[in-house]
Amino acid sequence: MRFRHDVAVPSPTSFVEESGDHRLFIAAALLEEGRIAHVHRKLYLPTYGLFDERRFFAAGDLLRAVPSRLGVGVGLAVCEDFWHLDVPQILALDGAQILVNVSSSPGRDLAATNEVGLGTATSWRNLMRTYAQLTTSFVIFCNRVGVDESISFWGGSEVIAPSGEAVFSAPFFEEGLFTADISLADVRRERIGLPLLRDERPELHVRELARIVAERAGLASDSTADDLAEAGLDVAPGDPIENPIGFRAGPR
Amino acid sequence: MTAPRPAGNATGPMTASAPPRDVDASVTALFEMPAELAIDTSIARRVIAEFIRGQLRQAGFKKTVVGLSGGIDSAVVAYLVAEAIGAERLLAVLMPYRTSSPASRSDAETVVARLGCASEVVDISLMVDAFFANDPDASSLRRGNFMARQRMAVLYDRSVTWSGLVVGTSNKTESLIGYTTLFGDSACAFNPIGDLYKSQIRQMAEALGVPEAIIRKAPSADLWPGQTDEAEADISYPLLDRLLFWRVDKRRSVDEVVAMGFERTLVERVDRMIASSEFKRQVPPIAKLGPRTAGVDYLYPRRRPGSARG
Repeated sequence: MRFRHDVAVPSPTSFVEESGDHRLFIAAALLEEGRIAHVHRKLYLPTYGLFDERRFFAAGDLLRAVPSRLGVGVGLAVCEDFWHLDVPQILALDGAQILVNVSSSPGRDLAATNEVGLGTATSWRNLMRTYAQLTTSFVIFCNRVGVDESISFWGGSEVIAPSGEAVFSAPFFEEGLFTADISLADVRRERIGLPLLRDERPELHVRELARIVAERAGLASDSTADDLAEAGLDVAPGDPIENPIGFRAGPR
Repeated sequence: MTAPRPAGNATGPMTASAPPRDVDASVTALFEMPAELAIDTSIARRVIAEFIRGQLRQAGFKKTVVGLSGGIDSAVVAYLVAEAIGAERLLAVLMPYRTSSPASRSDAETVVARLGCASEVVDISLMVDAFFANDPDASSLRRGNFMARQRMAVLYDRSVTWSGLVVGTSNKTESLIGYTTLFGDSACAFNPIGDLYKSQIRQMAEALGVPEAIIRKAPSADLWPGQTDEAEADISYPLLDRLLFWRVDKRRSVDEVVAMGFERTLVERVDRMIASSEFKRQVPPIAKLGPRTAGVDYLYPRRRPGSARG
């Protein structure tokens, strides 16, 4: 999807940003009325499988929902940020009613057994519906289209309502400028009828996460760890399960 | 909600935590298709067509060259290229050796006729026989490898005369077990089918309308009369494809695939084939000496400003 600078509606766009101290961030900006309303720097940089982002980029440290011209808060995220549960949850708790994920998802796991014939798409579609339901927010997934070397980006952008139902689904692999009408009254209806967000326990998170962080750092004893686990590790070392292809099994 | 991670992990009901002991293999009219390998061919065709166009665009080429053997892999590639950019931008090169099967030749000609693409026959017998004239005892391995590399040389020559990129025709099965000639049949500018197992190539062939005779016949490198892949490797493609899928793509252990019903000796043999052919799937390493070294820490996408020819 492309966004114009001269339109009045808030438009997210993504780019590489070099900071004053020369770190390179993968960033998304919310543009409103010709100005940059907010810049989100990608928090989670996938460096596994076919991804290599941490090698080249710095990870952002801030996560903020920001007010928008629409009269509701908007939460911006980039791709892998939405493979971490805390991101949509924190954005919703911080006031976002619309969560926007700008994504370059490489299509893979072609299969006939999936609903849509593409494992990646099935996974993303499940995630977006789940986040919309659990945060009772609109989720907008804006995914790249096109081919770059071996990789095909599959499109399939979506708008999911707070109920978890898709309001709009763009076709796979097709570039386009799509519009979808949404009613923000759906957020109110959903949040009053299903007050999940009201009942969230952020103070519980803070307390338990503070405990886990201290235990991982070896600064507190871990009452739930295995007996033989080292400080900072929850689990005692186990036997190796399997040798990779070409490696011989060693003496156990 | 069980949304599986896409990267190399389980998706779909076939790959739930405990894989079924006997996976149903559906036998279509033309070939045996292991159920877990079935793909959505319309999505595959769409991705591959855009891949082919993208590769040509970034290199600044408009045309392609495909070595057409009469077998299913090169036929599928020719059909995919024709679908992506039009048959008029494809040159099919038939490169028989004097002992090549006449059926291979006629099947290749059928593909050319069906697609309506340009074609050329380059007989490699003289080149190959001249080289081995003083070496009559050369093994069939050496002769086969040499033929594959002569065909590569012909294709890269035609790449210049036809102004087209050489499209690869190696499939994932033969690549994983190393059943290829390095710098021979595996040499190409790009490969649209290198991530498809033989069974999936057959599924694609049926969807693309490749002639049935090509889909039905036993796959063969046709390097000597009567040669077939399955006799040479002593395993059937559906079985090998399934084993590779579970071992490589789905990361199942030896014990796990044995529990699924694969013979342990077969699993261990295929494991050795995979490990011992690793060198064929990677670009040759360069000794690191300078500050920036290609493939080590000089890393650029092939598609970059200036990458297109002309």
